[in-house]
Amino acid sequence: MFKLSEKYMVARFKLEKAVYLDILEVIRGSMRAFIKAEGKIPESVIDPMEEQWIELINRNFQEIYIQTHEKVNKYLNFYNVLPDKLSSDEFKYIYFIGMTVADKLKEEGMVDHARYHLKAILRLLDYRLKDPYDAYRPQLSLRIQKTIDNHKINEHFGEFGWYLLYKCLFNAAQEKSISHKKDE
Amino acid sequence: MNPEIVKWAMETSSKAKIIPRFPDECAQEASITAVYAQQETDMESLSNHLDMEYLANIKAGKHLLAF
Repeated sequence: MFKLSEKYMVARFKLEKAVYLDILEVIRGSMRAFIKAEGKIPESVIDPMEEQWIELINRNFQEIYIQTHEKVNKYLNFYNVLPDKLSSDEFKYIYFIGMTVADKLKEEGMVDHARYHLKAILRLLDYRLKDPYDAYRPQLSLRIQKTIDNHKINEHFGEFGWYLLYKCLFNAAQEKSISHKKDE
Repeated sequence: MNPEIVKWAMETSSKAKIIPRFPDECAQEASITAVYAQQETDMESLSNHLDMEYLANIKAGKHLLAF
């Protein structure tokens, strides 16, 4: 039976600061690339958009940092991903940092910023599937892009659906790879 | 994605900087400091679970060029 009072039955999760900042910087560069590649926004507006994204993060840094932890802890506690699997992986960093910032952008009405921000998150998760297990699903990615374009990501996936979907695809590909290696 | 765009995105970032203000580095957040300090002592090094090659690749923009 699950007992809340047991020492290790409540998630206490800590994201590494250096990795946290690295992920934010990668999202920043990726957003620039997506905005330019799409070609719908004049080039002269790309720098101001990026600066507005940074300003929002700087103004709310502590709140975003704390809320990221709260989201991860909620996920770990709710699904009882404890105590022996308290692992920190790239998916958690990308997804939970990404969604926390996206929520803040939407809260302040910055929906265009949020759209490119979420596409940057999607590409990071897609690449995690692609390398090294070649488990990237182009049709799935296109459908999620459509969901992002229509501002429906939370409505369609809820709090953790997108994370669970990608994480399960990755785990399945990883297990398949390990099993193939054993057979060889 | 066009490699030229990726190169441009990686090299021409605006001058604005992300200024981290972690709760445990701010004096006014003493209570949060205590909580996170407690967390760290109870946990193994989390970096052991991270794929450092993946992190290096995304920092180099490979996630944009791979599709």
